[in-house]
Amino acid sequence: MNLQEIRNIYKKNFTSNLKHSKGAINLIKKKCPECDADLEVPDDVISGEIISCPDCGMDYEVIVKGEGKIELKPAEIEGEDWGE
Amino acid sequence: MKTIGIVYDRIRWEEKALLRASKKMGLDVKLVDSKNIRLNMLEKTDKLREMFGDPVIQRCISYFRGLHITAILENAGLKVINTFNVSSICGNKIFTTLALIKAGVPTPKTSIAFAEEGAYKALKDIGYPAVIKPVIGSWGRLIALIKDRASAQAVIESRKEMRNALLQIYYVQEYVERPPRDIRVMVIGDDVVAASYRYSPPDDWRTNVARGGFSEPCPLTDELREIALKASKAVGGGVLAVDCMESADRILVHEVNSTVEFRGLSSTTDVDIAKKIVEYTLEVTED
Repeated sequence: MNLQEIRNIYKKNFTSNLKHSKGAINLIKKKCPECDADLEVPDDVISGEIISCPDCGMDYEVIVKGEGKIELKPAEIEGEDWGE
Repeated sequence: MKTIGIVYDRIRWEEKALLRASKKMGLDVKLVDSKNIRLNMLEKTDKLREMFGDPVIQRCISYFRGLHITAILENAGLKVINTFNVSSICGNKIFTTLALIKAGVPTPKTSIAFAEEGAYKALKDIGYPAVIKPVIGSWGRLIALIKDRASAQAVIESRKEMRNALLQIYYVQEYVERPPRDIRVMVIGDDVVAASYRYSPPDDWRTNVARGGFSEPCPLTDELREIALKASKAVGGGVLAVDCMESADRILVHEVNSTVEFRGLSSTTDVDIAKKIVEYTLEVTED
Protein backbone atom coordinates (compact mmCIF):
# COMPACT_ATOMS: atom_id res chain seq x y z
CA MET A 1 0.00 0.00 0.00
CA ASN A 2 1.48 3.38 -0.92
CA LEU A 3 1.31 6.67 0.88
CA GLN A 4 -1.09 8.24 -1.60
CA GLU A 5 -3.65 5.48 -1.04
CA ILE A 6 -3.43 6.01 2.70
CA ARG A 7 -3.84 9.78 2.22
CA ASN A 8 -6.92 9.28 0.07
CA ILE A 9 -8.52 7.04 2.65
CA TYR A 10 -7.90 9.61 5.39
CA LYS A 11 -9.23 12.40 3.20
CA LYS A 12 -12.40 10.50 2.45
CA ASN A 13 -13.07 9.75 6.10
CA PHE A 14 -12.22 13.07 7.66
CA THR A 15 -13.42 15.72 5.22
CA SER A 16 -16.98 14.55 4.68
CA ASN A 17 -19.66 15.72 7.08
CA LEU A 18 -21.63 13.31 9.18
CA LYS A 19 -24.48 11.90 7.18
CA HIS A 20 -27.88 12.36 8.70
CA SER A 21 -30.61 9.96 7.78
CA LYS A 22 -33.69 11.70 6.44
CA GLY A 23 -36.43 9.26 7.34
CA ALA A 24 -39.93 10.18 8.39
CA ILE A 25 -39.10 9.97 12.06
CA ASN A 26 -40.93 12.06 14.60
CA LEU A 27 -38.98 13.63 17.37
CA ILE A 28 -39.74 13.68 21.06
CA LYS A 29 -38.68 16.95 22.63
CA LYS A 30 -37.02 16.97 26.04
CA LYS A 31 -34.99 19.39 28.11
CA CYS A 32 -31.52 18.40 29.24
CA PRO A 33 -31.88 17.83 33.02
CA GLU A 34 -28.36 19.17 33.51
CA CYS A 35 -28.23 22.35 31.41
CA ASP A 36 -31.80 22.82 30.13
CA ALA A 37 -30.79 22.67 26.45
CA ASP A 38 -33.34 21.29 23.97
CA LEU A 39 -32.95 17.59 23.22
CA GLU A 40 -34.64 15.84 20.34
CA VAL A 41 -35.02 12.08 20.53
CA PRO A 42 -36.35 10.02 17.59
CA ASP A 43 -39.64 8.35 18.56
CA ASP A 44 -38.40 4.90 17.52
CA VAL A 45 -35.94 5.00 20.42
CA ILE A 46 -35.84 1.94 22.67
CA SER A 47 -35.06 1.69 26.38
CA GLY A 48 -31.36 1.39 27.02
CA GLU A 49 -30.22 3.68 24.21
CA ILE A 50 -27.87 6.49 25.08
CA ILE A 51 -28.29 10.08 23.97
CA SER A 52 -25.85 12.92 24.52
CA CYS A 53 -26.73 16.54 25.14
CA PRO A 54 -25.24 18.58 22.29
CA ASP A 55 -24.65 21.50 24.64
CA CYS A 56 -23.18 20.12 27.85
CA GLY A 57 -22.18 16.66 26.60
CA MET A 58 -23.95 14.81 29.41
CA ASP A 59 -24.97 11.23 28.48
CA TYR A 60 -28.45 9.96 29.29
CA GLU A 61 -30.00 6.53 29.12
CA VAL A 62 -33.48 6.60 27.63
CA ILE A 63 -36.34 4.84 29.38
CA VAL A 64 -39.42 4.51 27.20
CA LYS A 65 -42.62 5.06 29.16
CA GLY A 66 -45.00 4.48 26.25
CA GLU A 67 -47.33 6.85 24.36
CA GLY A 68 -44.43 8.94 23.08
CA LYS A 69 -43.20 9.59 26.60
CA ILE A 70 -39.65 8.98 27.66
CA GLU A 71 -37.60 9.49 30.78
CA LEU A 72 -33.90 10.31 30.90
CA LYS A 73 -31.55 9.05 33.54
CA PRO A 74 -27.84 9.81 33.75
CA ALA A 75 -25.99 7.05 31.89
CA GLU A 76 -23.78 4.70 33.79
CA ILE A 77 -20.17 5.87 33.87
CA GLU A 78 -17.80 3.89 31.68
CA GLY A 79 -16.12 1.17 33.73
CA GLU A 80 -12.56 -0.01 33.38
CA ASP A 81 -13.76 -3.44 32.21
CA TRP A 82 -15.88 -1.94 29.43
CA GLY A 83 -15.39 -2.75 25.81
CA GLU A 84 -15.41 -5.60 23.41
CA MET B 1 -42.13 -20.24 19.03
CA LYS B 2 -38.58 -19.86 20.26
CA THR B 3 -37.73 -16.97 22.55
CA ILE B 4 -34.27 -15.58 22.17
CA GLY B 5 -32.78 -13.35 24.86
CA ILE B 6 -30.49 -10.38 24.45
CA VAL B 7 -28.92 -9.32 27.72
CA TYR B 8 -27.34 -5.86 27.64
CA ASP B 9 -26.32 -2.86 29.66
CA ARG B 10 -26.52 -0.28 26.86
CA ILE B 11 -28.39 -0.49 23.59
CA ARG B 12 -25.87 0.27 20.87
CA TRP B 13 -26.24 0.01 17.13
CA GLU B 14 -25.33 -3.69 17.37
CA GLU B 15 -28.04 -4.59 19.88
CA LYS B 16 -30.65 -2.84 17.73
CA ALA B 17 -29.41 -4.77 14.69
CA LEU B 18 -29.69 -8.07 16.61
CA LEU B 19 -33.17 -7.16 17.80
CA ARG B 20 -34.28 -6.29 14.26
CA ALA B 21 -32.79 -9.48 12.82
CA SER B 22 -34.46 -11.69 15.45
CA LYS B 23 -37.86 -10.08 14.92
CA LYS B 24 -37.51 -10.42 11.16
CA MET B 25 -36.94 -14.14 11.65
CA GLY B 26 -40.20 -14.37 13.57
CA LEU B 27 -38.62 -14.95 16.95
CA ASP B 28 -39.87 -13.71 20.26
CA VAL B 29 -37.22 -11.50 21.80
CA LYS B 30 -36.57 -10.76 25.44
CA LEU B 31 -34.44 -7.66 25.91
CA VAL B 32 -32.98 -7.91 29.39
CA ASP B 33 -31.32 -4.89 31.00
CA SER B 34 -28.59 -6.39 33.16
CA LYS B 35 -28.64 -3.36 35.42
CA ASN B 36 -32.18 -4.07 36.57
CA ILE B 37 -32.00 -7.78 37.28
CA ARG B 38 -31.27 -9.70 40.41
CA LEU B 39 -30.73 -13.39 40.20
CA ASN B 40 -31.71 -15.66 43.02
CA MET B 41 -29.04 -18.34 42.98
CA LEU B 42 -31.65 -20.95 43.86
CA GLU B 43 -33.92 -19.90 41.00
CA LYS B 44 -35.41 -22.73 38.99
CA THR B 45 -34.30 -23.04 35.38
CA ASP B 46 -37.86 -22.50 34.12
CA LYS B 47 -38.05 -19.16 35.85
CA LEU B 48 -34.75 -18.07 34.32
CA ARG B 49 -35.95 -19.19 30.89
CA GLU B 50 -39.06 -17.12 31.35
CA MET B 51 -36.94 -14.11 32.28
CA PHE B 52 -34.22 -14.43 29.66
CA GLY B 53 -35.50 -16.67 26.90
CA ASP B 54 -33.24 -19.50 25.74
CA PRO B 55 -30.80 -19.24 23.94
CA VAL B 56 -29.38 -15.96 25.21
CA ILE B 57 -27.05 -13.61 23.36
CA GLN B 58 -24.85 -11.96 25.97
CA ARG B 59 -24.04 -8.38 24.94
CA CYS B 60 -22.96 -6.56 28.12
CA ILE B 61 -20.30 -3.91 27.59
CA SER B 62 -19.01 -4.57 31.08
CA TYR B 63 -16.83 -7.68 30.85
CA PHE B 64 -17.25 -8.83 34.43
CA ARG B 65 -20.99 -8.24 34.42
CA GLY B 66 -21.47 -10.25 31.24
CA LEU B 67 -19.15 -13.01 32.37
CA HIS B 68 -20.87 -13.54 35.71
CA ILE B 69 -24.35 -13.45 34.23
CA THR B 70 -23.19 -16.09 31.75
CA ALA B 71 -21.87 -18.24 34.60
CA ILE B 72 -25.23 -18.17 36.36
CA LEU B 73 -27.33 -18.82 33.23
CA GLU B 74 -25.07 -21.61 31.94
CA ASN B 75 -25.02 -23.24 35.33
CA ALA B 76 -28.82 -23.33 35.29
CA GLY B 77 -28.77 -25.03 31.89
CA LEU B 78 -29.49 -22.10 29.58
CA LYS B 79 -27.49 -21.75 26.39
CA VAL B 80 -25.48 -18.56 26.16
CA ILE B 81 -23.52 -17.15 23.22
CA ASN B 82 -20.67 -16.68 23.74
CA THR B 83 -20.06 -19.37 26.33
CA PHE B 84 -18.49 -18.67 29.70
CA ASN B 85 -15.18 -20.28 28.71
CA VAL B 86 -14.87 -18.33 25.48
CA SER B 87 -15.79 -15.01 27.12
CA SER B 88 -13.41 -15.66 29.96
CA ILE B 89 -10.47 -16.32 27.62
CA CYS B 90 -11.22 -13.46 25.23
CA GLY B 91 -11.65 -10.90 28.01
CA ASN B 92 -8.18 -11.59 29.33
CA LYS B 93 -5.16 -10.85 27.15
CA ILE B 94 -2.89 -13.38 28.86
CA PHE B 95 -5.43 -16.21 28.55
CA THR B 96 -5.94 -15.26 24.89
CA THR B 97 -2.21 -15.21 24.13
CA LEU B 98 -1.77 -18.59 25.83
CA ALA B 99 -4.60 -20.09 23.77
CA LEU B 100 -3.21 -18.64 20.53
CA ILE B 101 0.32 -19.93 21.19
CA LYS B 102 -1.00 -23.37 22.13
CA ALA B 103 -2.90 -23.58 18.85
CA GLY B 104 0.09 -22.41 16.83
CA VAL B 105 -1.47 -19.09 15.79
CA PRO B 106 1.21 -16.46 15.04
CA THR B 107 0.99 -13.74 17.68
CA PRO B 108 3.31 -10.85 18.66
CA LYS B 109 6.14 -11.60 21.10
CA THR B 110 4.80 -11.11 24.61
CA SER B 111 6.35 -11.11 28.06
CA ILE B 112 4.44 -10.96 31.33
CA ALA B 113 5.50 -9.54 34.70
CA PHE B 114 3.82 -9.11 38.05
CA ALA B 115 5.59 -6.15 39.62
CA GLU B 116 7.75 -3.17 38.74
CA GLU B 117 11.07 -5.08 38.87
CA GLY B 118 9.79 -7.75 36.52
CA ALA B 119 8.21 -5.18 34.22
CA TYR B 120 11.60 -3.62 33.40
CA LYS B 121 13.01 -7.08 32.74
CA ALA B 122 10.08 -7.90 30.45
CA LEU B 123 10.67 -4.65 28.55
CA LYS B 124 14.33 -5.55 28.18
CA ASP B 125 13.32 -8.96 26.79
CA ILE B 126 10.99 -7.46 24.23
CA GLY B 127 13.13 -4.41 23.44
CA TYR B 128 12.02 -0.83 22.67
CA PRO B 129 9.63 0.22 21.26
CA ALA B 130 7.22 -2.00 23.17
CA VAL B 131 3.56 -1.85 24.09
CA ILE B 132 2.15 -2.26 27.59
CA LYS B 133 -1.49 -3.29 27.72
CA PRO B 134 -3.90 -3.87 30.59
CA VAL B 135 -4.68 -7.58 30.94
CA ILE B 136 -8.38 -6.79 31.07
CA GLY B 137 -9.82 -3.78 29.32
CA SER B 138 -10.49 -2.64 25.82
CA TRP B 139 -11.24 0.15 23.40
CA GLY B 140 -7.51 0.80 23.54
CA ARG B 141 -7.67 2.36 26.99
CA LEU B 142 -4.42 2.59 28.95
CA ILE B 143 -2.50 0.93 26.16
CA ALA B 144 0.89 2.61 26.12
CA LEU B 145 3.54 2.72 23.46
CA ILE B 146 6.88 2.68 25.27
CA LYS B 147 9.76 4.09 23.30
CA ASP B 148 12.47 4.17 25.94
CA ARG B 149 13.30 3.55 29.57
CA ALA B 150 12.09 7.01 30.62
CA SER B 151 8.59 6.52 29.23
CA ALA B 152 8.54 3.02 30.74
CA GLN B 153 9.22 4.55 34.12
CA ALA B 154 6.40 7.05 33.69
CA VAL B 155 3.88 4.34 32.81
CA ILE B 156 4.98 1.85 35.44
CA GLU B 157 5.00 4.46 38.21
CA SER B 158 1.54 5.74 37.33
CA ARG B 159 0.22 2.20 37.20
CA LYS B 160 1.56 1.60 40.70
CA GLU B 161 -0.23 4.73 41.89
CA MET B 162 -3.52 3.55 40.44
CA ARG B 163 -3.78 0.84 43.11
CA ASN B 164 -5.64 -1.47 40.82
CA ALA B 165 -4.66 -5.14 41.20
CA LEU B 166 -5.08 -5.87 37.48
CA LEU B 167 -2.81 -2.97 36.53
CA GLN B 168 0.01 -4.55 38.55
CA ILE B 169 0.12 -7.30 35.94
CA TYR B 170 2.32 -6.16 33.07
CA TYR B 171 1.50 -7.49 29.63
CA VAL B 172 4.41 -6.34 27.52
CA GLN B 173 4.30 -6.88 23.79
CA GLU B 174 6.60 -6.12 20.88
CA TYR B 175 5.53 -3.11 18.82
CA VAL B 176 4.81 -4.50 15.38
CA GLU B 177 5.83 -2.28 12.47
CA ARG B 178 2.72 -2.16 10.33
CA PRO B 179 0.66 0.12 8.10
CA PRO B 180 -1.55 2.53 10.14
CA ARG B 181 -4.26 -0.08 10.34
CA ASP B 182 -5.14 -3.51 11.62
CA ILE B 183 -7.51 -6.11 10.23
CA ARG B 184 -10.68 -7.26 11.92
CA VAL B 185 -12.03 -10.62 10.77
CA MET B 186 -15.47 -11.68 11.87
CA VAL B 187 -15.86 -15.40 12.47
CA ILE B 188 -19.21 -16.97 13.31
CA GLY B 189 -18.85 -20.66 14.08
CA ASP B 190 -16.95 -22.17 11.13
CA ASP B 191 -17.91 -19.31 8.87
CA VAL B 192 -15.37 -16.57 8.20
CA VAL B 193 -17.89 -13.87 7.45
CA ALA B 194 -16.11 -10.64 6.53
CA ALA B 195 -13.05 -8.56 7.16
CA SER B 196 -12.30 -4.87 7.40
CA TYR B 197 -9.25 -2.70 7.80
CA ARG B 198 -9.39 -0.44 10.81
CA TYR B 199 -7.34 2.70 10.39
CA SER B 200 -6.05 4.64 13.35
CA PRO B 201 -7.40 8.19 13.63
CA PRO B 202 -4.98 11.07 12.96
CA ASP B 203 -2.68 11.67 15.95
CA ASP B 204 -3.15 8.20 17.41
CA TRP B 205 -1.35 4.95 16.72
CA ARG B 206 -4.18 2.76 18.03
CA THR B 207 -6.77 1.54 15.57
CA ASN B 208 -9.80 1.03 17.83
CA VAL B 209 -13.02 2.34 16.29
CA ALA B 210 -13.95 3.43 19.81
CA ARG B 211 -10.95 5.80 19.66
CA GLY B 212 -12.09 7.39 16.41
CA GLY B 213 -10.57 4.84 14.06
CA PHE B 214 -12.54 3.98 10.93
CA SER B 215 -13.21 0.90 8.83
CA GLU B 216 -12.56 0.16 5.16
CA PRO B 217 -13.27 -3.03 3.21
CA CYS B 218 -10.57 -5.68 3.34
CA PRO B 219 -10.40 -8.63 0.94
CA LEU B 220 -10.68 -12.02 2.64
CA THR B 221 -7.60 -13.85 1.44
CA ASP B 222 -7.05 -17.56 2.05
CA GLU B 223 -4.28 -16.74 4.50
CA LEU B 224 -6.59 -14.45 6.45
CA ARG B 225 -9.41 -16.98 6.45
CA GLU B 226 -7.20 -19.74 7.69
CA ILE B 227 -5.56 -17.73 10.43
CA ALA B 228 -8.86 -16.22 11.67
CA LEU B 229 -10.56 -19.60 11.83
CA LYS B 230 -7.61 -21.09 13.67
CA ALA B 231 -7.59 -18.21 16.15
CA SER B 232 -11.31 -18.47 16.78
CA LYS B 233 -11.06 -22.22 17.37
CA ALA B 234 -8.10 -21.60 19.69
CA VAL B 235 -10.31 -19.65 22.12
CA GLY B 236 -13.22 -22.11 21.82
CA GLY B 237 -15.19 -20.76 18.86
CA GLY B 238 -18.42 -18.76 18.68
CA VAL B 239 -19.26 -15.25 17.56
CA LEU B 240 -15.84 -13.66 17.48
CA ALA B 241 -13.79 -10.86 15.96
CA VAL B 242 -10.18 -11.75 15.34
CA ASP B 243 -7.90 -8.70 15.24
CA CYS B 244 -4.74 -9.10 13.18
CA MET B 245 -1.74 -6.99 12.23
CA GLU B 246 0.25 -7.03 9.02
CA SER B 247 3.88 -7.36 10.04
CA ALA B 248 6.55 -7.21 7.34
CA ASP B 249 6.44 -10.92 6.56
CA ARG B 250 3.23 -12.35 7.96
CA ILE B 251 -0.08 -11.82 9.70
CA LEU B 252 -0.10 -11.79 13.49
CA VAL B 253 -3.19 -12.17 15.67
CA HIS B 254 -3.12 -9.93 18.73
CA GLU B 255 -6.64 -10.19 20.05
CA VAL B 256 -9.90 -12.12 19.80
CA ASN B 257 -13.04 -10.25 20.88
CA SER B 258 -16.08 -12.02 22.26
CA THR B 259 -18.67 -9.23 22.59
CA VAL B 260 -18.13 -8.01 19.09
CA GLU B 261 -18.87 -4.48 17.97
CA PHE B 262 -19.61 -4.89 14.27
CA ARG B 263 -20.94 -1.52 13.24
CA GLY B 264 -17.68 -0.48 11.58
CA LEU B 265 -17.34 -3.81 9.83
CA SER B 266 -20.97 -3.71 8.68
CA SER B 267 -20.34 -0.42 6.90
CA THR B 268 -17.83 -2.21 4.64
CA THR B 269 -19.79 -5.33 3.69
CA ASP B 270 -23.18 -6.44 2.38
CA VAL B 271 -23.22 -9.41 4.73
CA ASP B 272 -26.00 -9.14 7.32
CA ILE B 273 -23.84 -9.89 10.35
CA ALA B 274 -26.63 -9.55 12.92
CA LYS B 275 -28.75 -12.09 11.04
CA LYS B 276 -25.84 -14.50 10.87
CA ILE B 277 -25.26 -14.18 14.62
CA VAL B 278 -28.90 -14.95 15.39
CA GLU B 279 -28.93 -17.90 12.97
CA TYR B 280 -25.76 -19.30 14.50
CA THR B 281 -27.12 -18.87 18.02
CA LEU B 282 -30.24 -20.85 17.11
CA GLU B 283 -28.25 -23.49 15.27
CA VAL B 284 -25.70 -24.31 17.96
CA THR B 285 -28.19 -24.23 20.75
CA GLU B 286 -30.64 -26.61 19.09
CA ASP B 287 -31.27 -29.62 21.30
